[in-house]
Amino acid sequence: MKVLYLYCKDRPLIGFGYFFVFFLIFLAVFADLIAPWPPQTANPDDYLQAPSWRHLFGTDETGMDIFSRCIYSIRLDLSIAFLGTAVSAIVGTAIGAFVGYYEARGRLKTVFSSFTMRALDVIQSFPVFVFAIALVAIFGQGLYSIIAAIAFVNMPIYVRLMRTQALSIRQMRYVEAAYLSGLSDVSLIIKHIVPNSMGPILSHLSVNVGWSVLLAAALSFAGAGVEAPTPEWGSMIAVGFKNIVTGQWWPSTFPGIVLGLTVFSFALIGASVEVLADPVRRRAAIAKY
Amino acid sequence: MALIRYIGRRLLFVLPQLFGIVAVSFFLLKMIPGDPALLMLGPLASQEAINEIRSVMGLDKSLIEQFVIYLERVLSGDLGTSWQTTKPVMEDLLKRFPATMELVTLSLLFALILGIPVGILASLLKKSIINKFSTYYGLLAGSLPDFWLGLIFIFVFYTILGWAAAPMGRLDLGILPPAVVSGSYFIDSLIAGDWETFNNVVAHLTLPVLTLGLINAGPIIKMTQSTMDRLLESDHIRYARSCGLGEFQIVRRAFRNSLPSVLTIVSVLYSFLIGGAVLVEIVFSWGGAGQYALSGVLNADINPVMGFVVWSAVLCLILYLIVDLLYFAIDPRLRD
Amino acid sequence: MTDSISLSLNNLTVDYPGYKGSGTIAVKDVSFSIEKGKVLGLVGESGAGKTSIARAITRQLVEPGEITAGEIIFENKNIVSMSQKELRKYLGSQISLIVPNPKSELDPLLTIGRQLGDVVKTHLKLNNKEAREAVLKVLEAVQIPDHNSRYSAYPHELSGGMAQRVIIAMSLICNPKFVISDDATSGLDVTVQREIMKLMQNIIKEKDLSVLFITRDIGLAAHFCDHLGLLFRGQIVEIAPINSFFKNPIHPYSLALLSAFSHSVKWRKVYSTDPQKWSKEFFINGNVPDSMIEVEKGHLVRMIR
Ligand SMILES: Nc1ncnc2c1ncn2[C@@H]1O[C@H](COP(=O)(O)OP(=O)(O)O)[C@@H](O)[C@H]1O
Ligand SMILES: [Mg+2]
Repeated sequence: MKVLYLYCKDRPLIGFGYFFVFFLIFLAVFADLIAPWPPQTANPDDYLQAPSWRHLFGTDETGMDIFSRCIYSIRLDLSIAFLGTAVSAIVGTAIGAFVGYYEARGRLKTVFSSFTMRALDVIQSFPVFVFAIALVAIFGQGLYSIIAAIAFVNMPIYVRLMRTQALSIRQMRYVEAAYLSGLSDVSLIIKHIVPNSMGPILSHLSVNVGWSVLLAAALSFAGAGVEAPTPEWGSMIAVGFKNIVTGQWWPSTFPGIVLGLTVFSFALIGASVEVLADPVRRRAAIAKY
Repeated sequence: MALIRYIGRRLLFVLPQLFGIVAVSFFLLKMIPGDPALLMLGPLASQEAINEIRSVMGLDKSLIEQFVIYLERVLSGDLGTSWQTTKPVMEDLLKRFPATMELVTLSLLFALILGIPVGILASLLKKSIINKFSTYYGLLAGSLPDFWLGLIFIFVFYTILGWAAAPMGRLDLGILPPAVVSGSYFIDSLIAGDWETFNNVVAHLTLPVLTLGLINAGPIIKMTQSTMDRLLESDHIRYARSCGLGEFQIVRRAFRNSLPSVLTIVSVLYSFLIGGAVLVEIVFSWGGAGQYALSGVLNADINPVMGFVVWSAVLCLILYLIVDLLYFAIDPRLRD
Repeated sequence: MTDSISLSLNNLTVDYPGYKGSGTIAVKDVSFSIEKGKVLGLVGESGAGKTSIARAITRQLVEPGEITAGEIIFENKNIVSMSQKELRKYLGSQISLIVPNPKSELDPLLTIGRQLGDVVKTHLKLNNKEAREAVLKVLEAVQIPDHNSRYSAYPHELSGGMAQRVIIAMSLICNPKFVISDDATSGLDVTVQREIMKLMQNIIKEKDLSVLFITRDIGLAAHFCDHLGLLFRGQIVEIAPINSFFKNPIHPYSLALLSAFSHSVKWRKVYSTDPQKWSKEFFINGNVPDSMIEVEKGHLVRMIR
């Protein structure tokens, strides 16, 4: 905690990243109290109003208040992103640990490992975005499909990260010792391999949450995610798309700014975790103190 | 000779991968609930047509047999028909992929022209503003939704300033496309020597290329900077310094050594953008392949989606082969 | 007097600052001078600071290392205070460096002909043809067999010994006055090592070079050098003309090293490696004192009287 404070002191932008994420969570929790307008109630009298004190970010073509919708979007977008990331991290780490651990441990297990890695190659060589859209199309549009699609396209990274870690940790003396003392494979992986390889995974998590927000918004923008009246940044940008050519910039611009800042904040946090999780770089980063 | 062996080894890895892609997409297709024949032909199909496709696809046969039939069709270049355009998917994609490739290629060229010098300078001038700038630029560029940035550019440069061409496709309505040689209007209008068309093409390319280029310059800057950082501290560069070589020579050597990494990131971005440019295509009504596939997905028109997946897999394969050739040209250690 | 000196270090100190200010002082207060045409051997165990001295002279210290005090005088010019531009004129042409692990020191993407050529072209302003001739000549001089075809070989195609010869060629190609050899043979097989040493010995004699010869092997230095300096934890503990040193080694560390290399059981028993137990003229609480005493002409030992 203290380390984090020292680190951010010199890097106000990183500090901003942490602040903004907490701020978002705060807004999401108290959305009902903070948002001045109901997020889904069309108000035809107020359609396409420019930003003003009455409508801070203006209104869209059906007269819904963009500021309120932006705030309510946080709930949906962050939940999708957190859940999607969590699922892909848990499943990916588990697979990666087994794959890494089993490589070169008996013939059948090796086959299992290399087969999994080839399968990952195939998944990763799909055009990511179209793949995600196709998944949503196959499972039917809906929240769980989006989460599943996000989890699925992100998973290979965790498998790879974890595999690399498992491969090197497996060679360590203490793991060998535990193995020889008769610990079963599964408990070895749970007790030794996983806990000792969390560093790179943790630093990827934060960045990944940001990406997932971006992917969720992009899916909605393409029409394969959350559908229109539900407040969601991507679909709000899509709704405002028509208006921008005729000069009403606010329906698309504000959700985009909030979305961009959110992803940027997670990226900043990820960058700081990457440094702080590495003892050498952590010491270098806070050298002065 | 070494080259042929090198490529051969590469193909040995890639061909199974290609097969895997086709297999996975086939079985994904099979997972879609509902009658596949209906999905293939669309909601407007007649009963006879449905019966016909059933027997052509062998829907009464086993899954494996169906897959073999599907493979044979794909290999003979038959990707089925889109019920939306009522044309063979192959024909549609041949028209649309050049549009996508043109957009993606020019965007990445722009990203490279911007990213490499900035990355090198950021690495050379450790304490400069450009170093700080490039660190945060990478993070920021990765965070902005490209479709949104495209919209903002349209608003600023088209709606307000009126500098850019209308975001409605690749050419103004009144202008005829140049004679087809490569399918890229940019190249074809140059070949035809038709300056009016060329200028119009460039005007329409500017904003989407700017959008994708600025966003994708981020990872290129980051990669260039971090590899240059590593190389400038490496043994052989330090040794070259202690031989008294000039700074220009040093940077040139370091850059040459960082080319493989830059090439890698470019190939990753390229293969991502073939499908990933779709949202920018939508924003600028580009009419590219991604847009075609997307509308296939959203309208339960499955052949275009499958066709797109197969095509992009093949294009990626070609791309990786070209990249391999470049690695081969750069690094003598690969030659034996 | 100064005209006969090729290079001298005056109180050179090299520091690798740590994260909390207290860094590693890798080289402390080192002074010596090397006469023209003479070879000074610098011997010390791994981590003694030998490479730091070599890199300090070429001003190519690895981050975060820096020269915090002292002068390096080469031909009446202080290298420490030179501009980068001026320094570059000396490096490779007047002062050159032979490094260990030659394979990682050569650019993997360029032919050795190109790498050697770049150096002559930079310093001697030769054109392509002249450079090529110069390169072929020097490759022949370092006895690289089949040098015409090796000209267009890449570093990874060479054996360790060949690569070391290329590095030697690189250091000789501009006819320098002063050569630093840092542990040049450490990564090589013993037989190859012998060949390389012979080659260097011949070249040094033939070209009348001034040399700083850094090694971990005191036996090697004995055959090779006019003077010998012993480096211990970044400080010189004994420095002397070669005859005086071997006739009358004084510092316990010198004796320990000699005994280790001469396989003498008797000496090894006498001198334990624990500095705490060593005689207190030489060590104060395990550290060497600041003063040096001249026991014979040119024979200095770090001790208190
Ligand atoms: N890059 C570095 N960072 C920090 N300390 C270093 C670095 N390089 C060398 N040192 C320190 O300097 C001391 C001397 O190293 P070096 O000059 O390489 O010795 P030698 O060449 O005699 O083996 C080492 O003990 C080490 O602690
Ligand atoms: Mg050394």
